[in-house]
Amino acid sequence: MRKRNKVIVGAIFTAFVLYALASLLISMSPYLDVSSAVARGTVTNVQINGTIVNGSTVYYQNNNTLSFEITDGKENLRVIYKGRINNYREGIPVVVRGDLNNGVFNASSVLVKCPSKYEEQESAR
Amino acid sequence: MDPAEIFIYLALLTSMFSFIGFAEGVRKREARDLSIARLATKINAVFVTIASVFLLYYFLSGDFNVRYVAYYSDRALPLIYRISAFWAGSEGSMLLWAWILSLFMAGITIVDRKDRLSGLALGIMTSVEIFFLLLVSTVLNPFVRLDFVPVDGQGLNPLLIDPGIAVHPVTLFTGYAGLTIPFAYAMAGILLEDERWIFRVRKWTLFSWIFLTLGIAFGAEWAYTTLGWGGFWAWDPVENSSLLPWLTSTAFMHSIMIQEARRGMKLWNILLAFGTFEFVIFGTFLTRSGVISSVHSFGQSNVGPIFILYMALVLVVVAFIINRKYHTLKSLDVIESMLSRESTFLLNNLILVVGALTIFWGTIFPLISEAVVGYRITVGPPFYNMIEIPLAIGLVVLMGLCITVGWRRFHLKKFIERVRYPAVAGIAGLLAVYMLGAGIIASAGTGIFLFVVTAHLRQYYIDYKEFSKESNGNNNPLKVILRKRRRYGGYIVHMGIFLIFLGVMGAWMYDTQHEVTLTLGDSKTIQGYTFKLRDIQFNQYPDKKVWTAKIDVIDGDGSVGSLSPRIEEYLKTNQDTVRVGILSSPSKDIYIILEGLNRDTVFLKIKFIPLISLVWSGVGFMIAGTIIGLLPKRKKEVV
Repeated sequence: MRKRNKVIVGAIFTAFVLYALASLLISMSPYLDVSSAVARGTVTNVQINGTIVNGSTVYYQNNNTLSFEITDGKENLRVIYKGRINNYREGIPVVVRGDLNNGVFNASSVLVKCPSKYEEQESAR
Repeated sequence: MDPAEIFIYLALLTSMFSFIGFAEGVRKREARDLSIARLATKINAVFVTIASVFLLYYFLSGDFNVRYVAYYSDRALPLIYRISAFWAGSEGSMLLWAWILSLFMAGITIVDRKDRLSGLALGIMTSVEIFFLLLVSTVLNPFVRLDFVPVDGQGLNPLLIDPGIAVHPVTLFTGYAGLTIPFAYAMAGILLEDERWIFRVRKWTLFSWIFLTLGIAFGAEWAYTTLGWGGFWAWDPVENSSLLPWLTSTAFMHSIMIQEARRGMKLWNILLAFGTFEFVIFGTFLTRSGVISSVHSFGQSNVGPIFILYMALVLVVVAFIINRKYHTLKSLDVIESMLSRESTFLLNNLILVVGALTIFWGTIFPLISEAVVGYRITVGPPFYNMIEIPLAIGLVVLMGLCITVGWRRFHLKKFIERVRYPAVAGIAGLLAVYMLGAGIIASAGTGIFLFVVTAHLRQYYIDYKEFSKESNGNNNPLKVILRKRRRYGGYIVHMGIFLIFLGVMGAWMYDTQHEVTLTLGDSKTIQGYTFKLRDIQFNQYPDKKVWTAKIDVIDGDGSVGSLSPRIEEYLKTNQDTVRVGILSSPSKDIYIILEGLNRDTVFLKIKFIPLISLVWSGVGFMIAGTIIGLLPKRKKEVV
């Protein structure tokens, strides 16, 4: 390869890497457990995993909003989500994505981790 | 011990036997060893098939004493889902993998030439088969029996109760298992210093690629119709992991053409076959390990470390082999000019591989960040959209340019002659769409689409004219395509990509979403469509409660259809599942999600998704094109 071509290829490569890094920085979203999220107070664009607390679900019919608490065993956190969550059930682990403001988590999406097996039933036998 | 387990052990023994047979046969150039090993390969396929039929039988007969059957099915499950429950969890999925691979290997023993190259390749595939059989016979054994007989099984997860489960995992795994073949032949080729491996893998790669493409498409459609957010691709880790081998195997199919024609890119082809295989194992592992949270978090297991070790082992062995045989891989320099068809092939490979590597990086980033900063940082869709969309646009433009530049050297005059009409079509399309008032993205997208499509049609027209001159006025336009199957198979696949390009643009850039509340008898008009709530129904079934909103959709010319979005509550698991209503037309889909309801009011999310039908028809073109490229030549035909 001629020297000039090498320079061009190198420049394109560097530009691409910088662009990719910038895209990465914009898209990063930390994945925390409930305690460390609560400890941080206010955080934006995070994902928090926890288990839905039994008996904590409230559904507001007038504006179709769901509110529930998640826990990691140490801390509890109230989550608000507008809309319906597929496969929703209390007592199962979820990952909520969104922003934490003043102790309330506004979820933009809720991912239900729903294993087809129910280990607790299994061990109860 | 379950009788099926006996067959798994027999299969394992047979595989080990045939592995030794292939290794010895190749080493000592002993044809007898090789033919015994080939026979053992067929017997292995029979054993694994019998074991699989056992599992199917347990599901069909509802033998809930088998733990796997109890976990993934129950009495209420319809037949099709009882069959599909076979691969609803890790254990069955691994058995399916081993089963499909065993059938592929048996197929190779029958179809492919019986020489050392195929012998060694089969030996390498057998080692992969042994890996999966070991998993199935130990940590992921689907035949483990409980020490009691449950009255009923736990049933299948409601999200899995969808026609998608009947086709998506099987096709995907067929693609995965089949892509072991180019890897095995590549390794056999390098070890035996036999370059002919690239001619031998073409058909198997294309065949597997059909299934991989179908598998990804079925998965996308399943997500679209079931997950209830109105999209078909979310850059979810598991979706990504299925795209990785697709990208690298697509690159592979193009770069082997360069090796066939010009004896270049030898090392590159081996690396692509190897990378594809590693991605296949990565995909299998990611789907089932639960290391990275994903929509696929069904039936996880803790086999992650085993897969990581296996991938590392493959990497070390391959690195060792390449290092030892590096001197045999001298390629001829194929690039004579920066602007030639060869260089567009090179660029195409570069784009596909950079695409795969960046997606891989984003997918494993949570694990890397955990190792570095102590907690996981996931990478959201913006990262992928910012990188993969420009790459995809570049790739599409390149597909048009590839046809307009000639082989070897760049001739400006010829290039202008070839690029003239496509460029005019592209610019005219761009301006026309812009004048019609569409956005800049839609205009540019349409322009690119028309440019690349016209470039392909122009080539077809020239081939057609030449053909009818040669064959004294034979004007059958299909004859040209059949005469040059490989070329036109590829071009038809390209057409499919162009349709998907346009469809994704419409669906991702121009979809709209409306939150709508409707009371009984009430109606609302959005984008020229009137939505009327006719009825709210409640039905109780043995296994679920269902709330249905009956919605009439009316446009200016009258009723265009009726949709029934539902909420289903499965009694056994106490889980809610949303079933969307979709009204499809070529220009757009109307997608309604029932988000909530009370006695006389429903809360709806209504989405308009333009051009999404092009995505599905594009997949059809891709499959049809690949099949045409695979059609064997008739013996008499002289080409």
